Amino acid sequence: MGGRCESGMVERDLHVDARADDAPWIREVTSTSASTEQARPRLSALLPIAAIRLRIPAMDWRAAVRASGEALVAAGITTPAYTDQMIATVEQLGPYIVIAPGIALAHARPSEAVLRPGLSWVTLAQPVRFGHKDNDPVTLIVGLAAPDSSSHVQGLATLAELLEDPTRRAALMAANTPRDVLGVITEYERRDVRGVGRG
Amino acid sequence: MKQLRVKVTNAVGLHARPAAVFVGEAGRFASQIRVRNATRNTPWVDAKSILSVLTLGVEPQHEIEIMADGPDDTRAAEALQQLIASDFAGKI
Repeated sequence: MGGRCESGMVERDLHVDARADDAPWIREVTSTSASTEQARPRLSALLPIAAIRLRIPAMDWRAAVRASGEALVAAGITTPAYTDQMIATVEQLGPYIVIAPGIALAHARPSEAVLRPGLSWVTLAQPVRFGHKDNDPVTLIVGLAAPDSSSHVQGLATLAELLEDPTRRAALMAANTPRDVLGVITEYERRDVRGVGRG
Repeated sequence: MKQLRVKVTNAVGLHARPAAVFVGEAGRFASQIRVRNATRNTPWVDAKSILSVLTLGVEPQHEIEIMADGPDDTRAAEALQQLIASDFAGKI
């Protein structure tokens, strides 16, 4: 009887651990959303694990943006129409979405194709050129889907902070699994909460 | 050196396209230009880097400060203030 009881406890513990590993953002959201300024979703809450894809082959910038849009669709953030809108934005407005060396922030105007605010993260097997004078070639496409509000701005700010930090950027780019990407992000968010200095 | 403060009143704050337009305008001037989000009390960052400007997390109604230093600093600060005050003058 004692043995059965013990194994039951182990199973419960494993269950809790597995849930936390599969969805680290659940813990973050429930434990910190009330205390963050203006209760904006954190980066980890905006970037579902289903929206992270690593070392995707892409022939050119259109294929890269398309992969970024497909990751948004896969996570239930947008409909496929948004992917076409992101590509059309670059065709119309040029490669300004390449916001830093190697990094494109693919996005389009808020539209009914956006189901909820969110981000996707796609790294490429081979870099592609967008035609940007300074920041080509691109290895990371961050897909941004925003409704007509500011709900995503603080998450995007956190992402920019991470990508400006050479050590964390290197860790993100070296990640072998989507879980590793989220691990770097949630570790940084915990530091951010502890380190008072903003607000 | 020229320092100005301006409230962001466009619908979505200073992210993505607005940030790119802001940084593009800053890049037209020779002066060193820095910007901070006064509402969030952030550090000063390079106004010519989109990534840096995105770290400010500027939302509608936030106030930002612009500091320019160089040969065209007054024109630079005033041009950026005007860009924001005019809700990006149809450029987004």
